[in-house]
Amino acid sequence: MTHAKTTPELPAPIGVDGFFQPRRVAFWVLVFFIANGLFFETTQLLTAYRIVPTAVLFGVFAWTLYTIPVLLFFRSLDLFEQHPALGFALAFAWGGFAATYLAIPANGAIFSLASKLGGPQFGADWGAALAGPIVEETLKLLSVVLLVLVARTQFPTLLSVVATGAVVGLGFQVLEDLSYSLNAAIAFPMDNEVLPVALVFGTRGIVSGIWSHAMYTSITAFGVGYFLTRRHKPLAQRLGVAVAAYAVALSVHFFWNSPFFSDLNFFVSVLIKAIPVAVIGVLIWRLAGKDEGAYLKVLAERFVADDLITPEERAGLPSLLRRRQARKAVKEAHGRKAAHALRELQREQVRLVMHHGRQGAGAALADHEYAVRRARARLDALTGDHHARV
Amino acid sequence: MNDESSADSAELPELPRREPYRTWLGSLVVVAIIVLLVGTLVVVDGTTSGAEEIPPGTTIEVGEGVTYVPADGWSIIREGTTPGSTSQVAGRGGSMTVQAGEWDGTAAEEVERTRRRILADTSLRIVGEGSFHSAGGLTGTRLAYVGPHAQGRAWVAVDEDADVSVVVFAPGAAETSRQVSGQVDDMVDSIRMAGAGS
Repeated sequence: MTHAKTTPELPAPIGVDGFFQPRRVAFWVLVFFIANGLFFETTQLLTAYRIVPTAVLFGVFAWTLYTIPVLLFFRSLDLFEQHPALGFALAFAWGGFAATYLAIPANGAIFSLASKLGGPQFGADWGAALAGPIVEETLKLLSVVLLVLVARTQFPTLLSVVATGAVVGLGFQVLEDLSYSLNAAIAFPMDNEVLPVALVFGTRGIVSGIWSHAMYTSITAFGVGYFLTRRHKPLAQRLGVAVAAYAVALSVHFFWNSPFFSDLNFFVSVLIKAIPVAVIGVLIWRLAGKDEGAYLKVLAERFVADDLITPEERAGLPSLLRRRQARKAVKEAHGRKAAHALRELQREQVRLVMHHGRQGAGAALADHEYAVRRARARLDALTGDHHARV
Repeated sequence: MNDESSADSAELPELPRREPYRTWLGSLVVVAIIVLLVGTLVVVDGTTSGAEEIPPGTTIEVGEGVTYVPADGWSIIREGTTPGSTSQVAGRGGSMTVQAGEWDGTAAEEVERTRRRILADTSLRIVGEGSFHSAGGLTGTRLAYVGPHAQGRAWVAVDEDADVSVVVFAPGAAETSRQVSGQVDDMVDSIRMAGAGS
């Protein structure tokens, strides 16, 4: 016994945990609520199918199609380099299935209480503004917390948490919009099941989509990210930022759902309500991007040799804008294929640097280094030179 | 804050280590928050009454020019009421919901849509269908449905000239539906559509 106490503890191996963690309770909590939500959503769809079958099929098709360009946009920002696919799949599934499933009775209760206590007109005017922020932001935030519990080493930077929040929000947004589409089809004042889905797609997907749940949850996730990654700051400050981010997300969601400016033209009203979400959203994404850039730069300088990432490329590595400018220059000089090859090289370099930050050297390092060299060779073959690009 | 966030990460970050750790406490907190948030709201809503007594003879405006007079002793259900489109009343073990809305289709299409809405609950089946003509001048189709735990009737009337439809649902428990059916009939008779031939 005494001997055991004095034995020095061996450090755990360097590396990050995956998101499949069947020995952690948090994993099963995630799976439990996602499974319940999936069952519930399937039941809801089947019920709606009996009333508006065409709307269900068209709605599922339209909103699936809607998700693809958003995911491609996230990919263009290299967000999917932050975690393995399972992490994002769990995030999307929680937002789409678990959070919506849990939100329905809670939102219904707030709507109902608003009508009971303030009258039907008050409920109709303010129900969404009262229910949406409190219930939905909390439920989406909890998934970010659960995912952090499942694999906390996956979240070393603000961006790693903010990206997760965005995907949770996207999942919620898509499934909620599908549900609104079907409700609209059921209540539509003519025997047409395609038009109501198209109208909801246009208003909620196209016009209002960017200023919606993906952005709100990014904001709350930023608070969680600050709390997690700023361990050298006082606890009160970390907690304060996390609470403030949550409060900001609640406020912009409340403002969006409120009846303010509803007497104005629809597009004018959307524009006015989108401003605070856009300003705050851009700010937090910029902060998270800068933080990520600094993280990548310091790792690249410390671990990666110049033949893999040249000094000029290092300078451009932390900035999405500079990387895009470099691609634009290559496109003008050598064409689209070369620009695409540079994109691949940049992505492989980011993967290599992130591998260093997460796995140390590790067995897969050679694979990443090979991928960078192969991408560079492809680029050089297209451009005919060996000069580095930022 | 930009400079600060960059400065925060300027030093070489500590490489992560795959240390074992427990998550049951954090998971418990998450589950507790979910139960508290959802459970509290549902319980508080369930224990708060939204019934509002109606003075006898009160005429209720549903929307689209549709009105009706609730039976004596029945109450408005505030949470089941949407200004301009839906009104719900309840009393003596039954309830009645009157929905009025724009309808740019035929009466037969609206009947079909109502039939599908009822049958979306797979435990229900339609056991009767026929035309009706109310004392208030409403003409349309009446549906009767039953299920293992509930039964009810629905009335569908469409004013194709005004593009307005009225759909009435009167569900109730099997034990009480007979007692309230007379009052429900009276309320259906009291429905008036502006522009209908009353």
